[in-house]
Amino acid sequence: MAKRILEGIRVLDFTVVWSGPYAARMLAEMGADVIFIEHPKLRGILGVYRVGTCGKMASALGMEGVDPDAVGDAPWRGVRDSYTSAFHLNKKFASLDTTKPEGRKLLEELVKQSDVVIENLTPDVVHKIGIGYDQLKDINPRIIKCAMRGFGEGPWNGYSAFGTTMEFVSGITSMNGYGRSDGDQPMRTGVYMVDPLGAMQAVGAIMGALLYRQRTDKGTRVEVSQYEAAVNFVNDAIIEYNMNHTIRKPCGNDDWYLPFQGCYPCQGEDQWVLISVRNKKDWGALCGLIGRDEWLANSFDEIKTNRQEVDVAISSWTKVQTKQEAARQLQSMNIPAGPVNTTPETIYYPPIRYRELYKWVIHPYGGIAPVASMPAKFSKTPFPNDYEPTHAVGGDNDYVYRTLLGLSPTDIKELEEKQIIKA
Amino acid sequence: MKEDSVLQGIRILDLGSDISAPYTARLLADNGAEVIKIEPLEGDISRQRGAFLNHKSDPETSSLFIALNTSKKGITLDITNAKGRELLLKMVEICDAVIENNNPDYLASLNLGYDTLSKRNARLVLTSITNFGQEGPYRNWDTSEGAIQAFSGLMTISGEPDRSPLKTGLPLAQYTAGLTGFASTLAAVYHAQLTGEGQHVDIALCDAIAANIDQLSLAWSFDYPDKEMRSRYGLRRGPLEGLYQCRDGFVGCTTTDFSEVKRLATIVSPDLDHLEKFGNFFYGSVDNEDEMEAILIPWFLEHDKRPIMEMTQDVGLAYSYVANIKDLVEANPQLSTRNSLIELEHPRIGNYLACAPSNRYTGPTFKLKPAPLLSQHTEEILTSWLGLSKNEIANLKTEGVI
Repeated sequence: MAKRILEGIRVLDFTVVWSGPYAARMLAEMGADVIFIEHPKLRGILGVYRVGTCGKMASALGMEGVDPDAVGDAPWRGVRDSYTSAFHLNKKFASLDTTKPEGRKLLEELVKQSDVVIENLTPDVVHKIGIGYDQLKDINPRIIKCAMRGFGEGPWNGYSAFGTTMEFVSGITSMNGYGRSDGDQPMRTGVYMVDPLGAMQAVGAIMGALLYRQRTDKGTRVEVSQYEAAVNFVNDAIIEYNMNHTIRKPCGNDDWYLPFQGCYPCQGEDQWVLISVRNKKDWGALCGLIGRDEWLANSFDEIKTNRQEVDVAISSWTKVQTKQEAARQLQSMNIPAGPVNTTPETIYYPPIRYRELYKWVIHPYGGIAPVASMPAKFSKTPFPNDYEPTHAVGGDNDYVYRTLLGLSPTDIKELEEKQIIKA
Repeated sequence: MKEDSVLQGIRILDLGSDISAPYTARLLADNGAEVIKIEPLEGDISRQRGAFLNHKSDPETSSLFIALNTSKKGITLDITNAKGRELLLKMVEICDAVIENNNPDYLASLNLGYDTLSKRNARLVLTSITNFGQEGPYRNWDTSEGAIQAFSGLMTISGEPDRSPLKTGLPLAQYTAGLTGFASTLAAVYHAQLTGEGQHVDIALCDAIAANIDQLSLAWSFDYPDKEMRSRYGLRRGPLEGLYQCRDGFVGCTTTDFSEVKRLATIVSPDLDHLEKFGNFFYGSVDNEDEMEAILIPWFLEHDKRPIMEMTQDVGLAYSYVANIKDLVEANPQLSTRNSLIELEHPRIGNYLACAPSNRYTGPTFKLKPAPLLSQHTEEILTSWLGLSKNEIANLKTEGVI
């Protein structure tokens, strides 16, 4: 197989929850040797795993055999929680207590052999475990440090930043909503989208730092404000405000840049299809399908005025068929349309399936799980076909401490007994 | 001495239009790459979209075009013309990457596909962003941002439970694909610098959203109930999990357990604390939900959004307010302290605010430049990149190539 892009690059991964682990996982997909380092006893580096990973969450979802009071990621089907299982893939797993001097010494030895250190922790935790840039650069001046933050340095630096928190205050939520009937009532998006955006921004930021190091032989620190990665998406609306002092508002299921769009009910409970009209040609084809050729000559302004009548006519056509059948008929007339898919339907939707976006990861626990790969295809340096599942805590200690650091079995045994690398 | 920008010396051609590929190229330009935006003679289609100065359609005042093309230099070039095509190929010889989002077969139909380009420059990275990818039976399907959000699994969980699913106002698939282009192009350029080997990077909008719903898909394989897959809580899932109307707008909350409820109670009302009937609170589900809401709803209505964010964050709650565009521009201490919205001067719309890169380096700096007018830098680039004379440029103009 061709050499992958980041082969030979070693990454120390101190990330938690979604955005950080996902960023580091993309580096692993591109071939980096990513070592995920956790505390031997606490999950994550200092037990900072909390959201979506505790026993209560699992039992709230109706899972059996789960201790509802358990904290950390142990209870989910016995070994690892869903975030860990989805985003700590293709990585090595080391356990290390960096709060102890001997643990710190081992960390320093690892930093000497590494290119990138990535974390999405709070600044006090970062310094406590010894991975601040000022601490790292004395050990290895060529090191690249990626600090993923919610808001980033500034007055909100200490604020709690979940995907939702950042989305609400980014401007994105203010433009989400049913519009028309609801006025300005905002709605949040269904997925905590700022997490994966922040992850992708961090991968770009690290690649930039690697190019910089290639050119100058200097390491650097890069801070990624995930919040600002989201604010960057609304620059268009910011400029509209600069020019005209108008505030962009929700537009429902219409599209800012298309003359007509709507979401219509189909056969079955809570089944829908979305239909877009880009031009008169699409409109003509749609009128033909729903048997309303008399509307062909109408201008889009007239259509807008009679929107309710139009929606009733389209609905009476859509609701007697399945969403897949409706979408197929529209698609065959080259009218943009999509069935409103659930997650499993998305995974099996033909174009997405054709792209092989989802990899099927065989976990030693919890069976086979679909996981979306980094959504880019490189012609010369493809990703592996088989994704390596999450390992147990410290599952690769032998590789890290014996192979990389060259410790003897006696040294390792002693470190284990002192609970530096093992609980 | 001031340090270079992180992408100093990287040269990029932006053959994109509308949102996705231009967004990739903008992020590269903001980080210091030299990006040449190549427009057809009539201009990028985004010049016809967006908001316009005083609501009057004008290709030089589109908010969409200006937002997506800040920090670039702009030229016009008819690449369907033989001479224009040759000029493009000459530029390809001396650049690191070409970014584009044409239909999959378009560049090849002009004999400008990856194979042709890579013969001129083996180290070239070609990043193509399309709806369904470069290959396969679906690649020429017609689609739209809304249809992509529908079939990618985002819409079904957005909106309200008793209403239709809801797409996001923002064209999220296109921006997300553009951001993916930024990370992937740099990865491929890094590889090319190390090995001398360029490649074709294939990004699809149909993957952009579908890749980001996967914490749910994993749960699905762990027997997540099907009904949960279609659950929509656009407004609020339960107490303190979602949006509340407040005196001057909306506030958004996410709250894990009773310990956080107790922290909120110190601000709102001791009732929340002493009433042990809320003790089993977990992510918005709680016994005696109505009673809890009866305390919360009026409290939010009595307070303003910014003080609510400050008060709740001060006790460690991850609450924020729903910022509209005016709030972002005029009253956001985080953005203003960091100088994250940078004022640039545009000859037609006057001063406007451009977002600074969200990745900031210790050492390398950045500098943003206003978006180009149509063909603003054509002569400059043809001279500095290709060494054309004034005469040659004048002839190209007469022939309608530029």
